[in-house]
Amino acid sequence: MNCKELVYLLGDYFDGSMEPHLRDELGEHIKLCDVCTSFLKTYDKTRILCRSIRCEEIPDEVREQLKAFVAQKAREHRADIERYTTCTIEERQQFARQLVGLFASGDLPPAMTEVAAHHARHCAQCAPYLKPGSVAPATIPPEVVDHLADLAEELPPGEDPFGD
Amino acid sequence: MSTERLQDDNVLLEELRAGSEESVEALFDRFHGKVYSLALSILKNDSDAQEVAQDVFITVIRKVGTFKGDSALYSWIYRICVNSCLMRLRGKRRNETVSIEEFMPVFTEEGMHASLVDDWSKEVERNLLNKELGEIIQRYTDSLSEKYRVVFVLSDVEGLSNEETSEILGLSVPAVKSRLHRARLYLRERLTRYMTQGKVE
Repeated sequence: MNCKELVYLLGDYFDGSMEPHLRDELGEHIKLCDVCTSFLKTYDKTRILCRSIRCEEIPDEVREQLKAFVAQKAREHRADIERYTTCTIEERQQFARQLVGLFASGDLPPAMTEVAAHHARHCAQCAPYLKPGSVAPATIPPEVVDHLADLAEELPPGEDPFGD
Repeated sequence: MSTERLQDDNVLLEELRAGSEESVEALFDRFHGKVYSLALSILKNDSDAQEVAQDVFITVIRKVGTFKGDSALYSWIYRICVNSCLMRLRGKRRNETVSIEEFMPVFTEEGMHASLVDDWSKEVERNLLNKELGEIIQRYTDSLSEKYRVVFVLSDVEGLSNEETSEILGLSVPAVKSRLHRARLYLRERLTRYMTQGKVE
């Protein structure tokens, strides 16, 4: 191993990934070469010194500001999610009510009528709510809302559930 | 939820996804010091570091739902932090960085050192906490281009392993090692010139 090779391998030497036979060769070289000894020592010292520039603790004032900011943003984010979820639940309920009403009065467009009638034939839970000529019930249970709201997904693309 | 349980990454992630207030606090307590100091090491500016730290926590809270956990939590957070710092640096043109080539060691054709090497390592031992020296190192580190500086900061300043740095930066381990080695060679040479000639270039 010559000096150039030794310098090239210093990174491996210090991170411990050097192969044993190379480590031995490096040891042999160092014993005989003052220049490389100095190089190795100053390379190592550089590494150690540079760790000392690591920034000190975050100032208390900055930490408190940061903490308050993060807590505030987290609250806003949570509120956003809640608003989004509530809004979707309300929309789904409204959709189900409208579907049940229009199915009963026979005012649904043909595609939606077909999808709803098909579902009513296969789902005992929803069947009581999908009857032509019936009076729309005051409340629809959540499980039924879930089924009915999903029916819109079964329409062909571009088809509007209520024919608006 | 005991705060102890929130020390576990998986529990913490689950609670963050569920939107628990305590989990945000636990996240902050565990990572704010590291995030801030990493940002400060890269950006060298208090208010920039603070803004980056804000961005990092907002990003983590918003994206925690899509974090798949294919890397460790801390390395995901470090990656967000490094990316945020780099974006900020791109925004403002930094001071001219030096070419590190002229500070690389020179060898003869036979592969021997072309000049003598002064051993100043003992000298530093005596005044390790020298403030001036700290400022000098800081200045030399600043003069490295981002390519080298970010690797150097993560590995040698923050003390992460080559594997961890490679995961955070999305570089191969050999690329990390090579950049780190060159950064150290550069800093060693600059420190040598400072120690032996006693002047800051």
